[in-house]
Amino acid sequence: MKPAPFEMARPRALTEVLDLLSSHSDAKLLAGGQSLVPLMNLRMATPEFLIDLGQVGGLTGISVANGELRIGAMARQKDLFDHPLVELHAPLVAAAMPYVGHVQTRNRGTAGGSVAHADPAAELPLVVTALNGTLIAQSKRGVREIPGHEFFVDALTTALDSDELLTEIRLPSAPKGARVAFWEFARRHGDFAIASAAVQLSRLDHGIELKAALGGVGSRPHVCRELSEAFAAGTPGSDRVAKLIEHEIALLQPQSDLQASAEYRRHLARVSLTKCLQQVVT
Amino acid sequence: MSARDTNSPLRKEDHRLLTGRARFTDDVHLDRMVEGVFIRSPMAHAEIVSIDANAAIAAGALLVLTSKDLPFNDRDFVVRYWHPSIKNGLPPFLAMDRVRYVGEPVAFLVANDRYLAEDIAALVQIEYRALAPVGSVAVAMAPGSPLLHDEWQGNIAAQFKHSFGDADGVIARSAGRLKRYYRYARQIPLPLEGRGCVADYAVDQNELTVYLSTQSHYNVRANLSKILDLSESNVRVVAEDVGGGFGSKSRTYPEEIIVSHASMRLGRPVKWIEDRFENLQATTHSRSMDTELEIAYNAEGKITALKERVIVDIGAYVYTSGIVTAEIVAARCAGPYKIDNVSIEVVCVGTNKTPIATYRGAGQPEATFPLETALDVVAKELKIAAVDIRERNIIRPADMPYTSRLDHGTATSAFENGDFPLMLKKAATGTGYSETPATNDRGERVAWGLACGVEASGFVNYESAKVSIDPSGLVTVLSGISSQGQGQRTTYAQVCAETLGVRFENVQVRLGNTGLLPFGRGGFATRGAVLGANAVAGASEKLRSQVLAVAATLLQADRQTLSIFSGIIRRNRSDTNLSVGEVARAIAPGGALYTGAMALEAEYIFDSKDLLTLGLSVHAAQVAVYPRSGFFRVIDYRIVHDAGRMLNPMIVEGQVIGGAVDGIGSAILSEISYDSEGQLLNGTLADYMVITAPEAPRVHIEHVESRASTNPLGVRGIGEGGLIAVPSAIANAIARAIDPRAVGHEISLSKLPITPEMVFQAFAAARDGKFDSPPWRSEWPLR
Repeated sequence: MKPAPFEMARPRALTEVLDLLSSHSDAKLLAGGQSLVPLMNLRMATPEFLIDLGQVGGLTGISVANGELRIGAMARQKDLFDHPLVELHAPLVAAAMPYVGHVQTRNRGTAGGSVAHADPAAELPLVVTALNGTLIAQSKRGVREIPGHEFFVDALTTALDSDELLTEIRLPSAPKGARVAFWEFARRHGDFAIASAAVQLSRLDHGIELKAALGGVGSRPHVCRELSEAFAAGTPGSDRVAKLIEHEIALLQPQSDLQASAEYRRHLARVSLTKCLQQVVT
Repeated sequence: MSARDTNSPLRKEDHRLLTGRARFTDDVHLDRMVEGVFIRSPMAHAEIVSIDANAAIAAGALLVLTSKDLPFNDRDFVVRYWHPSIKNGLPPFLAMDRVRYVGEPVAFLVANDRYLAEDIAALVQIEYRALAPVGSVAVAMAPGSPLLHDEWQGNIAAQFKHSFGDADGVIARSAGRLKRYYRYARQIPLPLEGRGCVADYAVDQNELTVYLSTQSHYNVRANLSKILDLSESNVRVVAEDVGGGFGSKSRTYPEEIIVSHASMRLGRPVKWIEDRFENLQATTHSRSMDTELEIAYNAEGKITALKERVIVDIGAYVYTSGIVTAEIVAARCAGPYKIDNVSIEVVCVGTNKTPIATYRGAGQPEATFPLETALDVVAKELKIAAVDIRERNIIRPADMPYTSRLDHGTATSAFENGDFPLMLKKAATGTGYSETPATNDRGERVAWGLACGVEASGFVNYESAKVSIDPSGLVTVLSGISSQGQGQRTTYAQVCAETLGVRFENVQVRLGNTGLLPFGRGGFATRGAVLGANAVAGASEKLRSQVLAVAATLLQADRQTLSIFSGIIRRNRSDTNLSVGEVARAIAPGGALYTGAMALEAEYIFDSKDLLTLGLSVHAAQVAVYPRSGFFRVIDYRIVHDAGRMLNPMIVEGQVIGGAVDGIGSAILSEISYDSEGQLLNGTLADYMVITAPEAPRVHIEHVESRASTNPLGVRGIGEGGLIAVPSAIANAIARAIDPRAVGHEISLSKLPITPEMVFQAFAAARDGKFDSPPWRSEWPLR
């Protein structure tokens, strides 16, 4: 369990990172190392060039601007855990944080690292998808804003190009009085989800805004689009909600593995979503 | 936990363990030391066509060993004990012409450091020709299946049967009978510290020192001596700090021989540290048993007969500790109950998987799960309480001594003391235990489950100790045992202090080093108290006599009037001005009473006459089960435990709680999985699930002390009893939560570990009244 030989750069400025990314197409970014380093130790990942983001300035801030919560990609997960701005502007993130790993992994793991790693059962990709946040990608070519619904392409695959760095996660500030719910089924505390749901419901002047997504039940988080559309048209009755849930569940393509059969995963997604909706609607 | 009493001093070992001063194998750094890696088979079953290490040598390998390089391939392992039905099939030191499981060592490569060794290990070219894999017991026993070893006809490595009375006849004639199938998954003992070895051969003295993470240092010494042609006196195995074992280090492994041989070839110290990947795939696994159970019972709830057939998936080889778990399953299949007709047949079947050996409980949890869950079904059938079915069958004080008729090997055992009905009562009353489920405000069904477990201790007879006093009054206890953290340095000091009459603070204990004593065994199979502590007591008693004899001369007193208290000689119960240190000085060279002896010391070997000590524990688990998802939590846990005399109640509690938590993991989380090709599917700790603190409930223990008559201290073993009944208690609780009266849905819960998906299916089964056999039942290969 020793990694294969690799070179590592420890740049201090963002421009250096972008230069290195453009000159090393096979470079891997080290952003906390809670997934990458074990994979390297198992030699399941053998990057030849590693760029450590730990020294780069300006990537760790958590702030609010233009109605958005802005989370620097290198903000540690522990910083999201009890941050007052996160609680106020992204209560769904706050609700999800207790399910993210353990104290030890949260101390090292970063927000951007988790999002860019794009594990389909991870919590942060799920809430970013549910809230349809904006992912800021930078390269020498410029800055790009990627909508959350388009960022996650497949398991462990994102819309980032090989020379791009995820620098910031922007989440629309939760409207006043927004109700959020997060539910996850996992065999042990801190494990990746067998199935999970993240839901935010806001009563706006022009109607109800429901944001919902399911995790662990496919190669990327599933956005519950039709459910949201139905709520936008007016709060549906409980029979209708049950039907809408079934509709979303039917769209899922979960896999069977050692943890759960596909059918059972689908059922747990149903229970998760139902629980979350009950929590935000009542 | 109860407040610390005088019998529970803080553990002597903890200061160094907690302040990072312990020396585990990877902490050993020797001059000129180099490091090695094992190259292991990626194939479950294949012929080795060729091995070419030239590129690795060119890249800087100091040594590459394959089986062809070993001069001792024809040597046999030294085993402590061997069941007569075993048909050979021991592992080679390195794979010869064939590999039989993923992770089997094929070559050993040494380089200047571990990083380089892992890099250039990839350059060793090994060509394999795949053979048809034997991926399951069903495949192994199918006609025409490829044979793993020529001697294993039908891939059966060993097979035996024990019986008394007429189980078949009684079952055939009985109106009340039950037949069920059970599976206990393959699991891993998983110590925090994996295996590891630093071998240091000194050519000038022809002397080999091996720092080893082992539970069994003397057996390893015997093997190194015999296989490497060294005299035992010239081999020293040091295992002073070992980061857990749980049965996985109770035997000699081929790797230890190979690393030592490499040191002898290179004339340099060689280190090998097992990484977690290797630990999961190449350290012996355990459990891995299927059981067919039939019981007969009468209308009064008396179990009249028990018949079991057990199939053990032993993996690719019979490992160096034989088929111990299979033998213990047979010995303990009737639990603490009076059953007059018992028949058990055990078949050990080879597959292309990692060999199995012992893991905490070693056959006892496997024996307990079928019986204790079947008892709950019988109770439901008869509409009597789960407590009552046990109460009606359990061995009573009036039945004692109740000799077990199923013992194995040379060992014998009897239930000789203890009030089992009282223990049942204590578990079921005043603990919150109830057989009526409730629904809590989260919508969970909450229910209790009960199970009894028998723990046998004192396996592998003989343990040694030596106690000495130096002129400064320091008492040193040397023990042949080894420790993996169980606190023997504390309990042995307590036993010595009490027996000899000196202060606990003035006693130091050394163990885990074959250089200390010529004979010993080690710390495994719950031997620490029953064998190790009694050896310390024996040596201390002998030394006490010696001290008093010398003191009588020095004081010109009648020896009968003397005693020792707090290290001071007392005459007629009042202190003299003579201390044990002064007695030691008096007989040292130059002292007034020098007799030519080296020092004030006494040795003792405790001989148990191969009589095991049995102890009972009664477990009550409370679970909360969510019907919609099948997810569940263990929310309360009660244990009534008989440890005999508790040498140190705090350590007893720690052992029992640790065992219970381990047992919960065994019951609901841990399973090592292979696919049908024999490929390991969950070979990292990201995938192999182990219990962690959030899943563990508070464990409440009530102690019942019935002194064991099998040994002078009156102790019973405690290392394994915390685990043995846990899966049964949890399974019974879940079954009751789903339906306290109906029978049949629990079939969905008859495989360990119990997963939420199985519980969900059990709910569905109870709702629909459809009780299908579990899917793995079709793999049952006998008849």
